[in-house]
Amino acid sequence: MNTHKKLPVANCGLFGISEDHIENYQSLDERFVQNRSATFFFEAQGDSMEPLIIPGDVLVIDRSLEVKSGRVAIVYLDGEFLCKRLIKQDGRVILRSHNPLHRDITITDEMDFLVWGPIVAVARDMKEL
Amino acid sequence: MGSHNKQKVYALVDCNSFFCSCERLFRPEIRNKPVGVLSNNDGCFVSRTPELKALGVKMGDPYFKVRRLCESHNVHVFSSNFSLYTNISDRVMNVLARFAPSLEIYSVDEAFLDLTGMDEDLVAYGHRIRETVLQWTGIPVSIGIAPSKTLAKIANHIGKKSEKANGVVCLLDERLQDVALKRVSIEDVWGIGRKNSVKLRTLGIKTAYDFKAFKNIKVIQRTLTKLGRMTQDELRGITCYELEECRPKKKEILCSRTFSGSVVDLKSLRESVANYVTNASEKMRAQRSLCATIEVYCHSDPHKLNEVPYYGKDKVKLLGPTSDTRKIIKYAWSALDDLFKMGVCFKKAGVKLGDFSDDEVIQQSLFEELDDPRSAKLMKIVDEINRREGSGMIRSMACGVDNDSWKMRREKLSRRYVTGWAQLPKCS
Repeated sequence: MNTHKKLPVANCGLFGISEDHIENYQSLDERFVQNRSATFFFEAQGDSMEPLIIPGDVLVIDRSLEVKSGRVAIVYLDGEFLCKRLIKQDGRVILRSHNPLHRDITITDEMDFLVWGPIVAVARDMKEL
Repeated sequence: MGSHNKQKVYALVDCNSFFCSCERLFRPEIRNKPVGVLSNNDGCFVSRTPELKALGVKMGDPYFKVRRLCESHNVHVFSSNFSLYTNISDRVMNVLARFAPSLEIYSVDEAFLDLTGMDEDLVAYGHRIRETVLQWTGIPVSIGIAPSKTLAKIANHIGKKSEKANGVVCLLDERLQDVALKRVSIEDVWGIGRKNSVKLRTLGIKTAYDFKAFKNIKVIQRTLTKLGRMTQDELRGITCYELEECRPKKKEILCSRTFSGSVVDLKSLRESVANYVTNASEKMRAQRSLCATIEVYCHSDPHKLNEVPYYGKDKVKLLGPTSDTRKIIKYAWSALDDLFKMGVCFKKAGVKLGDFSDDEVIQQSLFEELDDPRSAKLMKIVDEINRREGSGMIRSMACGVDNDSWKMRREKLSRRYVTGWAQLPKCS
């Protein structure tokens, strides 16, 4: 049994290019999912962030990253999740839409508000567009 | 840690109201409201937030009994969304793994961490673990730190209750341990259980401290055997139980359900059993085992008045081990056909796969009937597709297509937020 194991092994095929030059295929996870345990996906609706983000876009959120002022993030406000640019100014938080047709929202103490996580990437299915 | 440099340090990290916390992650409006999660078939409460506990709802309370109370207090009740909970659990465990050289996943919402020799303020370290898990995964946890697993359990228990501790309790100091042990009643000690605590109470042992201080080793040995002695040592800060990093493979795998309605025909009963076989054999293949026995049972509702209870059970011994779902369904059905009885209202059925062997060490024997090598390949592909596309994407026709009579009741199921692409949380 196993006589084939005794055959001499020849290095051929890749003209002497050895195995350590073979690299992995590119993967979008490798590029955009830096921290798997903290990465979640949301789906965009509405036109408030157009044309930066359009309805149907898959938003990649990495909760391990801090939401710095000026970053686009998922926030929760009075019963719904919103995707907005978060601006911290004079101790206040302002939610800004990308679409100029939408007004700024200034967060007040009466509002039920929390920051869920920063958006690190957008994935868009172009087949239907 | 100072004088004893060989002393072990363990942390028990436990997710607070875990299933409820998973539901709250995608429903922030209920983060301060009473929330509960029900068992299979929406039967009993298996997870409750402190707000729900405060209303007097107990673990295992049947939903129908407290339904009125829940409705009048606007309790948010959910069916078990297991794909959500296992996904979030996996995330929590992966975050915890970064904080210790070794970890034991004790259950879906608990893990022991080995913090021995850590050159840091352990309370501060505990808070860092807690904050990281909360920020990354959205799940609040409590942490108990102590020189033994049993003491870590107690520290964790106190951490959950004490406001001041803010979720982290460290019991490395013996005086602190004694203060804590005096407040823990004997039935709450890990591994003691109800039966043993009754025995200990007859000896005058009411608290964990009484047990620790009880001098007569012979009596403990006689009443609780060696395990009791070990628990006693653990309470004294002597490590008896080390971390078990590798889960031993299960020796048998069971899948059973109570039907939402009742089943009176063989076709529906067969379909339900085919589904349980599918589920159990998938788990069996995941741990790389093959089974040589298949047990099938089905019974009527034993609590129903004016009905003679019926209980049917049969065990099939195979000629050789298998992991082929199709083959197991075939044998399960042949057993089930004998158990089926016209006129019985079946309420529950189940399947147990046992007598496992490793799929790598199977040796051909003359008398055994082995799986076709192509079968293992097919099963591997099916498992792969179902993992990627959602469970049940590819299944045997034996599982039926659309039969409600044996299906689980899950009326209050939340969305598949983190598994698959069809039900992502939405934002505008």
